[in-house]
Amino acid sequence: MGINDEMLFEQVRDKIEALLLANQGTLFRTIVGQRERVDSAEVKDGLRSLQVFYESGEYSDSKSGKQTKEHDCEYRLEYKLSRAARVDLSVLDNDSATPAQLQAALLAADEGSTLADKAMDEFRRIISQILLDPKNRALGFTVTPGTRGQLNYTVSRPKLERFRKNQPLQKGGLIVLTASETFTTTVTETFDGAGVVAADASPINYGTGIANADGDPTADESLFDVDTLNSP
Amino acid sequence: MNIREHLATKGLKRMIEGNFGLPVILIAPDGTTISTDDEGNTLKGQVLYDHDSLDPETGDLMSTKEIRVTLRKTALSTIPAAGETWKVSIPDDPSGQDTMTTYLMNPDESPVDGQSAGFITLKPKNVDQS
Repeated sequence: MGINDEMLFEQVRDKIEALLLANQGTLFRTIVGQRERVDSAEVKDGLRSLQVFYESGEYSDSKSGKQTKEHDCEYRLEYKLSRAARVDLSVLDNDSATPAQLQAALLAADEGSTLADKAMDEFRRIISQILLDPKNRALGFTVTPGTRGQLNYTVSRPKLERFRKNQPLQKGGLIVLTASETFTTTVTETFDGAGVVAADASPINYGTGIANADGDPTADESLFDVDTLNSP
Repeated sequence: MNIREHLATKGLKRMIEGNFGLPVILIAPDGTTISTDDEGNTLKGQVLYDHDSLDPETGDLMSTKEIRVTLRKTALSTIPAAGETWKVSIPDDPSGQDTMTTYLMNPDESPVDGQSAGFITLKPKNVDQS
């Protein structure tokens, strides 16, 4: 383990993403890493999206000189979906429909926000069922048997916490609903600094930042030497 | 006729239903179809297919693809109110006026009521087959 190797918090992130990608099917779409924006039409119906990224973490105190530290990791899950209103268009767009039939169709219309709210509950159910399934307890890491017959997991105390829905918003004629949740777990990181890139011994020439006669601002010429410039 | 009455009738009629006007068909919650104005002509409104808004996060001005339908209130036999579900049909695009698309104004979004000038703006939303 060293600077050039992935630490466990990065490996856990990759394992969560792999687990979600393997199970998403047509139910949702996993977006790896933080993305600036997702268009409302991109997350309509079965295209709801889940962004996963490492959000924060903290190393526990440990005795000096010890090469391992516990790392409490927090991964943010950002849910996003959109819904249109639903109505029986076969009646509403039928020129020969009677006022009573039209009235009944309008009364039976489902609002986009109600549909989005229900879809978000279903979305959370799907993600919880994947991430908290006992079969996925190890998150794809190898489980090793301990000396007392117990199982040793790389990730300990995995939890889904603080699910929170945001206010539905109208975007582009659709109702967009977002929510967030935190997946927390603890891993034991190793620190040994191995694989550190050797420092470059060659001197760095910053130049003067002033272009010389040839237009090269990094040129280190006596013309730009402070003593030369200040000499009368 | 004072200037306010003039604006609410002739002025708005020219602005909303003049050269910019597009045919609009409404179906009220009681099933009544409104496709003509108070004078028996085709009901017309000013239809905007997108509008400018401010990004709440960055404050940037951006063009938002959201439909706005502005109608003269005196042209309507019934005026849409907050909390009601109405069908709103407008042309697919400003040039192709033969094909109408159905949207819903539903209780999620109240109409904007320009009480002083006598117009109403509907904010219809996309709709899917149930």
